[in-house]
Amino acid sequence: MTTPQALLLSLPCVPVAGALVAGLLPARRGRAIRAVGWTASLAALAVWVWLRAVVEAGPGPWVSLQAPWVPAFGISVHLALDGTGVLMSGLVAAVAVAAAVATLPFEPGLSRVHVVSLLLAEAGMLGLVAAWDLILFVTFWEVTLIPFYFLMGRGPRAGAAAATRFVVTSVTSSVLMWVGLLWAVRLAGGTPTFDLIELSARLAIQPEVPGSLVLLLSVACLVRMAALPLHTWLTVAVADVPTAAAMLLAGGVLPLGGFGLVHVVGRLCGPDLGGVGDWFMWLGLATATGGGLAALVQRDLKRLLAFVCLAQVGLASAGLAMPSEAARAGGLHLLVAAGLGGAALFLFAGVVCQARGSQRLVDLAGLWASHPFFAGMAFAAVASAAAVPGTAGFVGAAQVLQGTGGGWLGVAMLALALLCPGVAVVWAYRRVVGGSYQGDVWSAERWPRKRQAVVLAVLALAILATGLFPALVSPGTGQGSTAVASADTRGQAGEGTP
Amino acid sequence: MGVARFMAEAHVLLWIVPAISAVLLSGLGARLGNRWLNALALAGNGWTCLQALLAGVYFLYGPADGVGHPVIWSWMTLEPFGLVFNLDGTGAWAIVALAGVTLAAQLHAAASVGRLAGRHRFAALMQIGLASGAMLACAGSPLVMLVGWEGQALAAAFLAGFWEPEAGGGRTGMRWLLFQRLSGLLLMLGLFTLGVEEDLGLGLILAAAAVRAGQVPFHGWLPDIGRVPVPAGALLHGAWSSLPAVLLLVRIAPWVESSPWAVQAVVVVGLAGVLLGALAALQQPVAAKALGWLFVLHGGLAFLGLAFGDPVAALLLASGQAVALGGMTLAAGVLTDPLAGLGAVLGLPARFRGRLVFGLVCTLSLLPPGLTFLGFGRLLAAAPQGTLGKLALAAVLVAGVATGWVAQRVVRSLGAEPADEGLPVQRGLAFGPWLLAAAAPACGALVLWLNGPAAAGGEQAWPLALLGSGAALAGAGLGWLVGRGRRRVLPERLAQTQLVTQWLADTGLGLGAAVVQVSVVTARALGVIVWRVLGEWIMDGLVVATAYRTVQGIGMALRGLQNGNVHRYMLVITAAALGLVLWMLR
Amino acid sequence: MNPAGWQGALPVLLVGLAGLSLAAMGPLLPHLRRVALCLGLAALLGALAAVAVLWPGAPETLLGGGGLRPDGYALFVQAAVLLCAVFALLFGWHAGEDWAPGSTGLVLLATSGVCLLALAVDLVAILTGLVAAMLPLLGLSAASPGLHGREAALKSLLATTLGAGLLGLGVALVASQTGTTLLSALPGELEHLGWLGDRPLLVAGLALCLAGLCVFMAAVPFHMLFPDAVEGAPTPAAMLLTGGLLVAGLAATGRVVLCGFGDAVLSGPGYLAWTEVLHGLGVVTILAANALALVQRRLKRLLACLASGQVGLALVTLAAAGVLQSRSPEELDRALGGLLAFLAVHSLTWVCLFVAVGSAVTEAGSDPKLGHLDGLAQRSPWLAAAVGLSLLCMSGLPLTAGFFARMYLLETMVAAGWTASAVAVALSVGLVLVMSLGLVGAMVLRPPREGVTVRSSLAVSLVAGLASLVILGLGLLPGGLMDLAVRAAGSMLGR
Repeated sequence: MTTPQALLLSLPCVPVAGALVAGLLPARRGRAIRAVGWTASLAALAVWVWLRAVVEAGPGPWVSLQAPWVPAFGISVHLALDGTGVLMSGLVAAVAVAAAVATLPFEPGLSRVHVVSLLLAEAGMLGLVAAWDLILFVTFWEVTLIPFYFLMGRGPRAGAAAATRFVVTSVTSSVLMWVGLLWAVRLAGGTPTFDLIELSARLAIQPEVPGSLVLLLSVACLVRMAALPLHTWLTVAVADVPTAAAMLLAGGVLPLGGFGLVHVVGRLCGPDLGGVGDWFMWLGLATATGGGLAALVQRDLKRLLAFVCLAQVGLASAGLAMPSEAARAGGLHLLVAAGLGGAALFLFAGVVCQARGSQRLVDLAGLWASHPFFAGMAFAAVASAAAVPGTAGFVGAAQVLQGTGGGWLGVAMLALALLCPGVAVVWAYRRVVGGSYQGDVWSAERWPRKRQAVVLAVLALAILATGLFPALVSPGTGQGSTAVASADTRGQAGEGTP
Repeated sequence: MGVARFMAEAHVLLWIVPAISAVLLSGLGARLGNRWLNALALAGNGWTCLQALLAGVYFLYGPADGVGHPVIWSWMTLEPFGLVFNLDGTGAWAIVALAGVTLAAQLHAAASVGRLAGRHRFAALMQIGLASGAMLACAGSPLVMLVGWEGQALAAAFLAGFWEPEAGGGRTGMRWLLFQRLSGLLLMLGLFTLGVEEDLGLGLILAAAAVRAGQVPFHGWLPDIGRVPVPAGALLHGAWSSLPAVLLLVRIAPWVESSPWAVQAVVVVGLAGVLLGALAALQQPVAAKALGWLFVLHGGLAFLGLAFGDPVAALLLASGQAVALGGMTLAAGVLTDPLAGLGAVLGLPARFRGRLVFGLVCTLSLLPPGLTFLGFGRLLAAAPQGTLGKLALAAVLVAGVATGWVAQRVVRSLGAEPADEGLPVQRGLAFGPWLLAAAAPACGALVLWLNGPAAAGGEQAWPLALLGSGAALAGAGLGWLVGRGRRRVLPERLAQTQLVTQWLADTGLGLGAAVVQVSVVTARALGVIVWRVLGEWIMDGLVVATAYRTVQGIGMALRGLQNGNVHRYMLVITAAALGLVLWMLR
Repeated sequence: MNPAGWQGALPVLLVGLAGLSLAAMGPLLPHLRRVALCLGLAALLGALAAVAVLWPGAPETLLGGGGLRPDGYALFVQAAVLLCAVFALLFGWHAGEDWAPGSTGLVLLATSGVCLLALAVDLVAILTGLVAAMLPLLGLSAASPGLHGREAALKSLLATTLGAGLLGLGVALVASQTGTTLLSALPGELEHLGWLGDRPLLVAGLALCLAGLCVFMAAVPFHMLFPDAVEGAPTPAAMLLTGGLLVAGLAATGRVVLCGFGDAVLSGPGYLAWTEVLHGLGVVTILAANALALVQRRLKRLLACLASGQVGLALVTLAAAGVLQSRSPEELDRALGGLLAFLAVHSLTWVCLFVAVGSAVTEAGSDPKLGHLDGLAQRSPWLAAAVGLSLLCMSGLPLTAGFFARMYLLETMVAAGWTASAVAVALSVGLVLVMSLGLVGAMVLRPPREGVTVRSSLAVSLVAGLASLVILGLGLLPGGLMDLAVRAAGSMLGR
């Protein structure tokens, strides 16, 4: 086994090991348990960095590892990472580290279950990204839900209800995806196999992939991406669950829904998603627009942020469903932006709402006067959600825009999809940071903790870096700018001089 | 050419210096004393202003003759996200105007709000706006252009109503924010669609410019000038909105000229702006709001200049307007509560009046050799013969009259007795108006000296331009007469007798308000539909809950059936067996 | 009896004789309870060993006048049932004084009856096996203290009579029409008779056979007596009812429909194909049983309803297998193998769940209700883990054996082209999950309930631990079980 393969294998195993250790520690050793929690997540991130350093890019999977699991049914343990996978696993690892480091010590009523669930959830998501066998994929897809259930279950409000709702919708939809997978396997014919590469190769030579099969395959991803009208679980969930869970939901689960769309549906049904790609594009645009419009009328900070996040992921899915290469790259970029930004926003919102004891926007004001650094760092995420140039969100949005090919309707919906969430989130930010700070209604103890501020700053830096150096995340392709560049030169010629 | 290269490389300092000063201000400002704070802020402004002036003179009159030298920062050349900077004559000129007005506003802020908490952030925001404006002016690629555009818009959105976001200022900022987000997005969409679908892209960019400049029908945010803190008000209506918009139009002038419909659109927008601006300004009893409408009016003129194919006229008009109206705002701001904006006139201790009146009148710059005067000249020279020419002349005259009228009104409001004699008026308050008062004619004179009469459209345009100046004086005189011998002329009587006209005047004859209200209400309604109706009622309520309840109902029914009563069990099972048999027998 | 193949019935004989003797001795020597338990366990383990030795079985040898066939299919089912019985006895150990003298013998007798059922390839033998399995079970219920037990015994008796009556009537009709009750001979006769639709009596006979079997398998709407019987029965009996009788009953139904009715799958005037009948029954059972479970307040009833919901799944799969039978035999092997694996896994699941329910004792002595498992994780973590695991296994979550079991069923349905049913199954999974998660969440997230004690003992921990180990192990490495199951299915189909 080569070094990259070993690292690939240990990527999901490290958090599992951490979870085991944390689970075996006696419950009263809270400090040690927390330490294990954030150490394990940091270790996973370190493994990813190492892997990124040693693996070399290429067509197809960059690193791959395969072993038979149930040979009779063509099921194997096939872990692999291609460019997209490396990107998404990095995102998941980073978000998990942020959640662990920034929230673990400060969750009220923190317990061993919490830490173990967080680590297992991270492991599940990392495995999901690396799974190239469909049964393995479904396994991780569903097994991730159980830790999430316990992570969300002890929320500030009706956490358990939200968790049950999330898990039940998610599992039901994933069983549908499963039916779709079995159907696809039959459609592919030959000896049954669930290996993604093999299966997509067989399906590629099929005359056509039925639309209902595409629907069955993608409904699970749509649920996880909280695409309209399957979005209702998200708004309930993030408003009611602990900060760590909200960060992982916004930073991990939502983007991974889009990843599933690319990874499974995209590969099995071809880049045009079996001919129904246009529908997905319109669905994504509708989600983005609708989410933004709904965000405009929210009065609860976390719920507003939830709508903003789902709008951004919707836009990403629209880009991923477009035929053009640039748009797909933009969609991927938007997924990363949505992940980082969502994690940062919910960290900010979680800390602030916990300190104030309320999530209503009318109760929050004056942070610019009281906590300028913390508020300032959050602005990077806000700007990214508003697709302000120089942030990750802008790069993705611009690339997706190039993919629309300048159709009137597409551009109009894109404009709405960018305008509404942007206005909503910037307005909310202004409300929270502006105004006068009444110290007496806020929590007496010190907030935010240094660690939280640092994590937020790092996330903000990541958002700006991916915005200023898009090449870091995805090699974008662009035509739109050339026109303007030449516009300037042509402009100077015609320019008179006073 | 080594010097040119050096100038080109060095011009990134135009935005880097104010950016640095912004960072320092917001980082250390809280600990700095007033003197150092102002020094830091003014340093950012001053540097930009001087360097831009030098660069402009070099590029326009040195060996470079107007053509810039692109600077590509190679570490960011990923299309379309390359950072390409390119300063040319136009950019340099725009930066000079921008930095000058910002400098004046900074001086005013130092005196008026220099004692308030958070003043350092206020100053930092001004610097950010300046830096973004400079970036926009020397943009060589879409990304830079967008960064500049959005940065200035965001900075302005935070400046507007800086001290009271929850109260009226919050609304002000919100409206501004809405419009500026819209303009930024339109610009972005336009820039990226321009290469694919030229007409669509051009239309989007024009719309972006119109929104930014507050041209009809996107002028809904203008009446809010009354609530913006005075220094911000002087900036974000002129130097930060009309000027960038015109600059953008100048950049895409070749596209505009190559498509007839775009030219017509710009003409229509410009004329509408002039007409509505003049009407609303004349209707306005409140001097501050009347000022607000003058921005629309002059913006419209600048658009006209562009439509007539003379970007220089547009630039002259836009910069002249930024200087003149900015100066008027600052001057009028002397006698108001700096936070409540121009809304509340407090009156002024007698010893200040004379100098301010002077400063105020001089800022008009409609008189030769003011910038606007030159702009008039070039505009009329460029105007085609026939109807359009006559319309242009009419526009110039209307503009003159309205400007004079409003200026006289502001002067008259200086006469009001101070509401509170003990009002502490900072000495520094007068610097800003004075600076701009000096700047307008000085720049005009400089341009004339450098380019000769051609700068004002040549000999044949002079008399017409002078007509414009005369119209201004006439307007002022008319206003003086009306104010003096309390005789009412129609517009004012209308304004004072009929609330409807008042409201119309406030909202730019209703149109702007309609645009704002309709869009906002529609958006909110749609949002409620998505959130409540689709999400909570249909999905959660109808689909999920109904399904769950149905299953639950079936369960309850079965449980009721299964009540432990044996003969009922037997009955059911026997019936079921019979049913099975019949079913299988069909 | 064919002397060559008598050893094929070794497990039945072993367990049956031991059961008889212990049942007879039990009342005479009440103080030797533990000894009896040890002997019973020894007998069961011996039977298991016999099964292991006999594997892969001898399909060609027929016993009891051709009524019994010790093929791999029978052995597989017997193994599952014997395992279930072992757990039941272990729990009896845990039950202490409540374990009435002679109960051990009854458990063994019931087990032997179930094993007989697994061997049966003749309609009459199946009827015998069912009755032989039910009677000791209702004896167990009647022997348990309290009125509940006797009521349950009465209802089980009724169920037995009714089911046996319906099945007997059906068998009689079939025999009168075809002249045989041997499953191996039935298809030929049916083919010989031509179009079934012209013979209403025969069709009615087939229908009544199905109805009778459905009574024992607790398929809706024949399930009426089942929850009451399970609720009142003592825990070991409940385990055998769900984990033993249901499993063997489903296996026998599989034999009947696939070997007996054969591939006469075409519907037409006067005859609705059995596949469609089972399909309809299965879907109705899935929906109704889970809906019924949703509104239960008592744990045992809840588990009983969930069990019959799983039976619905199995019935739909059987029907799909019937469709496959006429299409592609090799796929039929896999389908049936999947079904066997599913049955084995679920017998384990139910054992685990009933162990937990049985060990949660209220002070009032009443049956445990839903809330009584609150905070179980704090009281006995391992038991809680086992229960949670088996609940998740029942809803088919990954890393539990239920995951692959569910996959096989779905695969069969998709293979038969019944995507719609597969979707319905998916939705039912969501429904099951609602209940499972409710219980799991209550066990982990809620504080313990007052007035409820969890009597955990070595035996309970052993049962729970073993069961959860197997569930996890099969969830990680299902290959071995699947191979066995497919081979067993093949041997049943004579391949």
